[in-house]
Amino acid sequence: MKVFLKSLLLITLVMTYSEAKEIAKVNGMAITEAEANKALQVLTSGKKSWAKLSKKEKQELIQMVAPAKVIVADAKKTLTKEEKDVALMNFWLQKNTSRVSVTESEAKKKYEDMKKVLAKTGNKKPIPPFEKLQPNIKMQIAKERVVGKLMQKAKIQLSK
Amino acid sequence: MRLFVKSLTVIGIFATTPLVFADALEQTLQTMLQKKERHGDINLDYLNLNAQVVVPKVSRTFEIDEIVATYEAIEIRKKEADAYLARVTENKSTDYNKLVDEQRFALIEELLQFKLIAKAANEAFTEEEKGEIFKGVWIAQKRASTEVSNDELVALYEKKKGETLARSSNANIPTFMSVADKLKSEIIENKILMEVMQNASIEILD
Repeated sequence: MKVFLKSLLLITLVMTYSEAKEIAKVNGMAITEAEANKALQVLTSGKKSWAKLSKKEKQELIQMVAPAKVIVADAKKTLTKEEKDVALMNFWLQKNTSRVSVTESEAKKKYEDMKKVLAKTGNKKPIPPFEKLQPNIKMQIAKERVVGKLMQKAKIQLSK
Repeated sequence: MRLFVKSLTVIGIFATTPLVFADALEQTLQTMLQKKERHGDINLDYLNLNAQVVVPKVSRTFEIDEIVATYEAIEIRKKEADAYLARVTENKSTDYNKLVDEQRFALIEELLQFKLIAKAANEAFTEEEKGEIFKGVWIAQKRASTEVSNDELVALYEKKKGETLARSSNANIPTFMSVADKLKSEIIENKILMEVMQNASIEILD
């Protein structure tokens, strides 16, 4: 498990590096020395570098770095456009909503508004207490703000 | 329920009360569909013949490739609106032409929202970051579809137990149930790793 997790973590690091020297190939995709060194930085806290590794250690390291490269390539190939779009949107929304701050009173107001809507529909089910829903309500408000900002200039014109 | 709310799994507020907070579009469509299903027992007793008939405003119909709405440089064609409608109504309604103006606007607004977020997201990330995001989805899908038998779990537990006791005969061994989830996760990861690397060709150049 550790090897798996480490190898997945490594790709995040190695992808940002672009030092040219190729030291290995996995399914034809290049692994550079910089990528290997970046991985070693994590694994050995900078105590080792690619140049100082034995042949066996080099093989082990490449075995650890390779899976993530293969997975990224396979993911790009096999995920549908819709899956990719949704994943990017999800991530984008998460990233942007996390920057929005929502007060408790704003969440409380939204909660009360929701209760009123429920009452109008004749709902008989018990409504969870505010404390339980607060985190989700805050997230919902944050999301509405992010999307609202995106849509604020949207003037939709239906064809006549 | 709005597709983007559903598909992006942004929030669980509505989990307990899905119908109440559903958007207007779905509610009108649901009502429409429910009415359609019950048309056999229409009660005409209360019919007021003097009442003013309110006909929902319906614009003209569109051909499949025709543009039904525009927003800045974004053009939305009927086929796209149809596809989106089919998705949000789970194929209960598939023709944009059959919607009244209010429903059309709600649908287009939602579809536009979806497109704008998709566009913003697509522009916000580098190719490397996108690769990372796709990788996360790929792994999640693999995890969900990889099965682990009880025998596999027990075998791994016994193996680890044996190894631990070999190192220290007084070692405290956790119960199977307390570590079952971790073991399962480990087996899944190993299976994924094996599958990924099964046919991979690795060449060390240096």
